[in-house]
Formats: sequence, structure tokens, C-alpha cells
Amino acid sequence: MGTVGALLRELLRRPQSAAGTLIVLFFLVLAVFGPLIAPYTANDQSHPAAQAPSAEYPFGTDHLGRDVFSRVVLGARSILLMAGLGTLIAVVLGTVVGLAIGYYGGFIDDVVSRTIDAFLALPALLVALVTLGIVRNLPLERGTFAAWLASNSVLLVIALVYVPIVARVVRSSTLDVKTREFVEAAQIRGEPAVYIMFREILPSVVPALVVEGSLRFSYAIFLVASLGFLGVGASPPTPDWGLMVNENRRLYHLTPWALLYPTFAIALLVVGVNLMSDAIKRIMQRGG
Amino acid sequence: MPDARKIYSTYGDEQPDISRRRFLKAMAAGAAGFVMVACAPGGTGTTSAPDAEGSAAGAEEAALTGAVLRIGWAGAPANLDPISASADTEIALLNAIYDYLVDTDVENNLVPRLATDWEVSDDGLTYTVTIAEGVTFHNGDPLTLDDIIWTFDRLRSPDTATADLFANIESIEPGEGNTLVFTLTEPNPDFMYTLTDNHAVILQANAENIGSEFNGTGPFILDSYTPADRATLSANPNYFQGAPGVAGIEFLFLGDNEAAVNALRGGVIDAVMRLDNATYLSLVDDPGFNAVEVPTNGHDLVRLRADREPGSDPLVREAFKLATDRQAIFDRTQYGFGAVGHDHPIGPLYAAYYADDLEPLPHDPARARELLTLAGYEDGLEMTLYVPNAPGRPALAEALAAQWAEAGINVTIEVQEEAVYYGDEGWLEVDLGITPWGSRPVPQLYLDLAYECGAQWNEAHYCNDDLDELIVTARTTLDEEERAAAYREIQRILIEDGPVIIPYFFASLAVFSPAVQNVELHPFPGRTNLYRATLSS
Repeated sequence: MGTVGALLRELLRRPQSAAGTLIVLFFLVLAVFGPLIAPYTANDQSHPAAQAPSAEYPFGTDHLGRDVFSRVVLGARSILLMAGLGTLIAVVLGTVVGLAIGYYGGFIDDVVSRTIDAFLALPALLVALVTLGIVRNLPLERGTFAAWLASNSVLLVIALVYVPIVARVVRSSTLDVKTREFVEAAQIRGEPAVYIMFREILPSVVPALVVEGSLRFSYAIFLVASLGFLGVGASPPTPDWGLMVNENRRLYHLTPWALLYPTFAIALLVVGVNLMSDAIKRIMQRGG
Repeated sequence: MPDARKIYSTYGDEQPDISRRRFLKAMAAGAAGFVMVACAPGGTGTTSAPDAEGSAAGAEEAALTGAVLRIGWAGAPANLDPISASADTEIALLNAIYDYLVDTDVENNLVPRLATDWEVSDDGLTYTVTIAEGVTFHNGDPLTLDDIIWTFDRLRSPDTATADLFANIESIEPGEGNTLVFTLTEPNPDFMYTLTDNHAVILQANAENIGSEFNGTGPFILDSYTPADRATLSANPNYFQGAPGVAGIEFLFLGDNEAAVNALRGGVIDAVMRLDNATYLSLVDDPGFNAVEVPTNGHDLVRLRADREPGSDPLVREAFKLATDRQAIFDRTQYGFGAVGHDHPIGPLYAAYYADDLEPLPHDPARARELLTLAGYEDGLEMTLYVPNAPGRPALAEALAAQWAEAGINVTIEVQEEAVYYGDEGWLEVDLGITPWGSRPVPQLYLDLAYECGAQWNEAHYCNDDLDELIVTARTTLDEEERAAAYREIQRILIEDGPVIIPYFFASLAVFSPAVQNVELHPFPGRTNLYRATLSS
């Protein structure tokens, strides 16, 4: 874990990457402690409607009389959780697939790589929309595993969309590494393939993986927000930022603040993650 | 923007000023329009614009210079066979190409169209309807009584969506002169209103390819139709009420109201006729447009299935109503357009029948919680609230969810695409749903369709013998007093025991460019008649 601390120190050294890191940390704090920070619950409509920002309601209230500040604060958790967990699943699965096809090569590599290429030709948002459109409208019994999957479909869709991309990156790094001497030495020692992939090759792939993961994370945030905006992500009254933008866009003339603050939150988070991911890339390249 | 916000924040017990002003203007336009159609065909009409004078000259000029009225719609027709068409875009196209026997106006009065006059026998069983002379179809054939009889035979044939509506017709025979005699099996004081039904446009006898070929008698002739894009129509110079005021109409089918409003701002279209509240609010004070608001009987129906738990328990139904604050919902989702509802479909526009003094149950979440405990739900209720993804409806669901939560009713909101909500497992099946109901000219149509036990669209599956008896009385009695009494009792039963919450009646909202004149917005926007419309330069 010393490496995480070292990475953090490295990130905080330059102003740009420090700003990005602090922004991300700020939103992480909101995600974890949101319910303690937000003065009201997400769907509390006991306030006067359409109030401009004031000392009492720092971000104003929306047309249903909900505190926009509370909703923005509470919204941090779902977007970070969706984008973060989705990216994590994509990275884990993508690593396994990428290592396997890169290491074994041959026919399996041909089949899987061409499938991945075909997948990459499709825009992520389109794949997500079609998948969610189908999954959401399946008549599923409550309490079944399928229904549980459907209720977490946004998470799974993000994973689905990004697995091929991660797999491709890992595959090319694997191809690079597998001809090195230490891998050949392990093969001569008679180590099992799984051991070679995860103990010999994976550590060399990690820098590329961290860079790719942080980049995917910033795309995933945009994707979650887009899906919320298009109405196929979170269900109302979840304080999902994308959904909030959608709900309030027709009322821009009446409650502009209810539209502005969630938009600003999405923008700030994406900028923060991007700055941080740039810095991680720089550090990894220098270190590698 | 300041004015728009004023509407919102100053809204109290009465309609906001701006809204009342628009309302009066629309009503004045409506009344004048009625007079015009009934008494002075060919004369100058009324308008949504302030300067109605001199529009007759404008009409001739426009027709000569080839002015085309371009109307934008959010959405597009899916089905243009009159027997099953229902959306505004579909009806708007049919209403331009074909004629109804009778129209209704903005105040739900009957307005002659192909039928110029009608008489009822004393027993209420025989209607003698006089048909206009000299009407021709677009293909040149004259309109005959056989065409009308054929059309209604088609609508009456079993297994059609319209069979129930016209089941009361025993026979349709040609009468003396150019009259048709409708004989009924039982009296129906609303019979003429059933002839105004959206499906009842007059086709030519033995018409083929209905829904893809369009040969009507109406004021406009279809030139071209590109599904999901546009329909282009030209004026029918031989229209029996005189040639239309514009050279043609173009309907543009756009993705949503924002696209339509952008097209209007950009001068690509001249009007948007089916706006949601929020979008309308952004245009209402724009001096560059004429915003028109018409109150309607249309409403959003929040209904609980009454044939199985938990809605089968009257205590639970009462709890849902006590947990609902209709005024707050109206203020926060309708912004002062329309009227607060009383949990029954007989709204304030049905002035002769609306019982103003019968208040809905008060907002009392604590009492609602007690009733739920009495009904055996000590820990409250967990349910899914299904809502179609139409503008403003998810917001209604959110408002209900917040209010009901105070009473221990916790709902998960499931927003569904409209095609899914109206699909097989949708609105007629789910336990808790929100269904928008369009405006009807008479209250009986709602009761027959959705409140009588076993009715086709009784989505709440509610059966109440007392209610059914009253619905039959109201449907058949010729005694106006007895009818009003029945409607009053129906309102009382639905308020106290019914399975529905009607938080508000919505308004029909449209925005026109100032060039458009002589259009009277209809409570059902698709039924707005455009043949008197003119365009000034």
C-alpha cells in the first residue's frame, strides 16, 4: 500500500494534478459522507418551490420544492459508485481476457480479438441504450437473480461496454512482455500458465492498466450521466445528476439553478478525473 | 422570466392573472368561433391573434399567394386507420382530410359539420340527422347517405375498438330528403356526442386500403405523407363550406416539444399545438408569439387496482387519498394551468353536473397511516408506481412518492416508455399506475369506458353495484334533473370509495406565430379545425 501513498504524494506535487486529485477526493468525501453533509433527504418536498439560491437554500429549490444542494451532494455517491464499480468490473474482466488471448495467441486470439474489434466499432452510448432498453422492459419476477441483474443494469452495461477496450490494451502489453527472458525462464521452469500470466506478466502490465482504468473511469462518469439524462439510467426520485439535468431542462427559465448545479457537478468531476488520469499516465510512463 | 416566476410563486387560490387573461381570450375566441361556424359560413372568424379585423381580406390574399400553414407536432402518427387512430397527430391528419358529422367546440357545445341539423323524437330513440347538400369526395364522387351508413356499419362491426361506443345503434336508415334516421335500442341523451367521436370520420363506401389511401370530403387533400417526417396537404377548392383560408397545410412530425419550439423560434413552422406546461411557460410571455390556453377535461389518473390486495380494501384506497395533497401537486406540476381535481372525472368544465361542494378527502397523512394499520399494514406499504415517460408525468410520480412516504406508503417509481406502458403487461394490469386521459366532451364517456364494472378500459378493475346502477341511469335518462342527481351521487361514491386519485385537470396549450389567425384551439389539440385559418404576412 506504500505505492498508493507514493502515488498520491507524486500526484500532489504539480499544481494541475494536485487540483485534479483534490477535486476527486472532494467528491469521494461527498460520496461517503453525503448523507451527513446534506441538510435534507433527496425527495424531501417540504420546502417552498422554485426558490432562488439563498442562505437557507444555497443552490435554491427545484419546482417540486426539493433542496438542490442536498440533491447534488447526495448524487455524488451513485455516480461514483456506478462509474467506479463499473470500471472496476471492466478492468478485472478485461485483464483476464486480455492476458489469456495475449498469452495463448493463435486461433483463440484471432476469434476473440476480431470480436473485440467488432465491438469497438459500436459507440458505447448506443450499446448501452440498446442493452438497457431491452433489459429494462423484460417482464421479470421480483426477487429472482435475473431481476437483481436488471436492477443493476447500468453497472453491468458500463462493464460490458469497457471490457473489450481494456482487454485490447492488456493484450497488446501482454504480447510485448511475453517474449521477455523472465517469462521464458518461467516457462522453462514448467510453471503453470495461470501462474505465468498473473505473477510474471501482470505486474508489467499494471502501469498501462492503471492509466487505462483512470481514463475509462472518466468516460464512465460521462456515460452514467448521459444515461441518466436520457432517462434509461437511475429511476426518479434518485438524485442522479444526469436525471436532474433532464428533469429540469424544460424549466431552465423558471429554476435555472436546478439545472446549473448538477451540470456543474458533472463537469467538475469529469475535469478532476481527467487531470488526475493525465498525471497518472505521466507518472507511470516516467516510472516504467 | 420574472413574469413566469411570478405566475409560479404568487399562485394562490385563484388563477394567476396571466392565465386568466389568456383563458378569457381563448374563451372569447371560442364563443365567436361557434357563432361563425353555425350561422355565417364564409364570414370572417375569430382569432388567437389580437387583430382579428381584416382577416377575410388576408385569407383571400393568402390563398392567392400560396401561403402554407406549417404546424409542428411532438411525435408522429403510427396508425391512420380511423377505426383505431387515437393520437393527436393521427386525428389532426384525419380531421383535415375527412369530415365528422358533428364537431364540438372549446366549450363542448355541438357544432354542425356534415350534419347541418338534427331532431330527436320524444322517446329519445330516434334521431333524424340532416346531411349537407353538394358535398363531394376528393376523387370527385358525391357524398351519399350510403357512404355514411357504410362508415358507421364499419365502426359498429363486432371486435372493433369502436363497437361498444356504437352498440346502442339499432339501425341507420335513409329518411326523407337528405336525412339519416338513427334508431337506438335505449335512450341516450349524449347520442349526438358519440357521433363526434375521434374515430367517426366519414369514409367513402367500400373504401379500400383505409389508413394508407385517403379519399375524404374534408377541407384539405393529402398530397404526400412521409411517415415520421411530414404530411403535405393542399386546400380543397370544392370544400362544401367554402375553400380553406390557406393554400395548404404542412404537418411536421418532430422528436419532441423542444425541437418543435426551436423550429417555431427559427421560423420553420407557424404553430405548435400540443405543448407541455414547462415548455409553454417559457413562451407564455414572449411577445413574438401568441400563447393560447384552453381548459380541458383531460386529466392524469392515479389508480389503484381494486380487485386484489392491497387496493381491494376500501381502507387502503381511503389511505391513498388522505395521503395525497392535490393542491400542492397542482401548484408544483401544473403551474396554475388547468384545475385541481376531486378524484372523479366529472370536472368543473361540466358545469351542469360538477358538484363543487363535494370536496375530496382532506390531506391527512397521520390518519392515512392509522387506516393502513387498521387494514393490517402496520409497517406501511411497499409498491411500484408505473408511469409513462411523457412530459410532466415522472414529476407527478415524484410528488406522489414524497407525499405518500409521509403516510408510510413507499413506492418505487418505474418510468416506462409509452409503448411499454400501454402494452400487454402495462396499464390494464399493474397495481399502481398513472394514466393520462384525454379530454372528452361529456362525462358519460369516461364512466362507460373506465368506471363501469367490466368496462373495456376499467384499468382499476373496480366494481361497485351502486355506481353501475347510477352510470346506467345517467346514460339513459331523458330527465335532466335525474341525470344531474345521478352524476352527483357518482361523484360522491368515487370521492369516498373509488380507486382513483385525479389530482388535476390539465389545460390544452399551444403557441402560434402572430401571422396565424382564425384558429380556435380545441381541448383535444388534434381536433383543432384549420380550414378557417389564415396567414397574414
